Amino acid sequence: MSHGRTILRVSATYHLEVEVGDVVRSGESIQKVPDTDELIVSPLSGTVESIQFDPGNHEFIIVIASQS
Amino acid sequence: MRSTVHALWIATVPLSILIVLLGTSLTIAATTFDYQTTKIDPNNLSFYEPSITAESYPQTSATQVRNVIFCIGDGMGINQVTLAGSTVAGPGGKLYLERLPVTGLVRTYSTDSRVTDSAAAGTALACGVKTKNGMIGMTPDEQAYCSILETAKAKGMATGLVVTCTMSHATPASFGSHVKSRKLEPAIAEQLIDNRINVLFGGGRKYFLPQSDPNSGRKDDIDLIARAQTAGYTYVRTASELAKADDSHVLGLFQLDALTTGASEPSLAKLTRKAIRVLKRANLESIDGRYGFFLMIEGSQIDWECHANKANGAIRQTLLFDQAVEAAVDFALKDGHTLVVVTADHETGGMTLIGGGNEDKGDAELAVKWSTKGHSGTPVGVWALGPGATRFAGIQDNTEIPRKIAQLLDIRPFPQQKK
Repeated sequence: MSHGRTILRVSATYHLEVEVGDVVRSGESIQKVPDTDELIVSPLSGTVESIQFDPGNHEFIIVIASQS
Repeated sequence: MRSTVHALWIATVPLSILIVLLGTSLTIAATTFDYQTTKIDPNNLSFYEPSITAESYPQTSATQVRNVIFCIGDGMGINQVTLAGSTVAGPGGKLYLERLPVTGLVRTYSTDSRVTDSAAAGTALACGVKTKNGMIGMTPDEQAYCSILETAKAKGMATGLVVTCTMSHATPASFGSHVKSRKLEPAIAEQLIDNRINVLFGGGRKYFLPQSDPNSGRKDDIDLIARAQTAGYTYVRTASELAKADDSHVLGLFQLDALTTGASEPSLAKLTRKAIRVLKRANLESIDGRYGFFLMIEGSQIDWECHANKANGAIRQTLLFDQAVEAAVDFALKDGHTLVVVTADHETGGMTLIGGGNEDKGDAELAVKWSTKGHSGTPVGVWALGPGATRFAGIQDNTEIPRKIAQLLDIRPFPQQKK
């Protein structure tokens, strides 16, 4: 069952390492910025519920539903 | 012409299976793109009349460049072009942009990544210098560089920007502003007006309205529309107002946010034709017609559809852009002294064409696979027509494009630090 939802905003320039429906663990990579050490990680364990592109801000809005 | 396109949504197949397997009440949706274009049928391509020939446009014998029309398809990789062309004209057909007689390839990397964003790529294409992703019109050490538009204006040329995104989005911003971050759209909008660019056509009215307006996207009291009008701009919001606009400076903001690219607005091609008319007039009024104009046109939303991995939407946006290129070429061929350069800032989606249907068997499906929802680092195409076009043949860096345009316009030095 899902409980809370966490919303992540990440750059839309770079590849996402998750897809809708993926189960992610806390600290697991969401996006690696190429040619840098920058890594965006999931702040919680859960399921990637939706990924929406926000063209105005050129970002992906990733909704992760937490798992208890 | 095929009126309906079916793309294979490979990524959605395992998702469907997953939904069944989970059997929960979770609402799991595919990557969505809930923007204004959602009201538009991406399968309806009836607005587009394909070229009746795949022959190249003629090379010009003229050597003097008077006008430059620089067309940028945001996110438009080679495969986006091929997909759109084969959809409307078959595998052997061509888009109008593919009929430009000179072709080349462009490398797009930025200073901090082999995968550029539109800010760094726009800066390269506008200013001839590399920068970090996110930065506009300046190098990583925050040294501002003049854009080719600004140097053309300093030379006496009329100038214009025509886009389908917000007027202050990364690509147009790179030609008319200098900021540390592409996110500073209110500041970018202010610089665009203060630069007195003759033609500004696009969306993003919210960044021009003071915070007292409920639709404002600003956090200050600056009313850029009033400022523009005081500076002599004619301000228009609709197609009918645009048609009546008869001035040397026209600010056209057709939506609060990005354009819908639907029928309620003037199309990118119509905006292009109007921009050319305004710029010709501005040039005749301001000098003696010798100095010409510089116009940048962007098909902004090819990128957006590719971020959502929507092949049909990418085709539609590429065709809307191609219509604008056709309008530019029509003018250039009649004028004889106009250089048209078409390119992209980067590729989006890592689009691959993995097969096509056999129309003889009634199967017109196009098989498209995406390798990412982000940008890719693959080279993009460049196509050119008009005097000096041959300089754009071969493989080149994106910073070379404005440098070559500057050489052809006898603008020196370029790149040029902003004082």
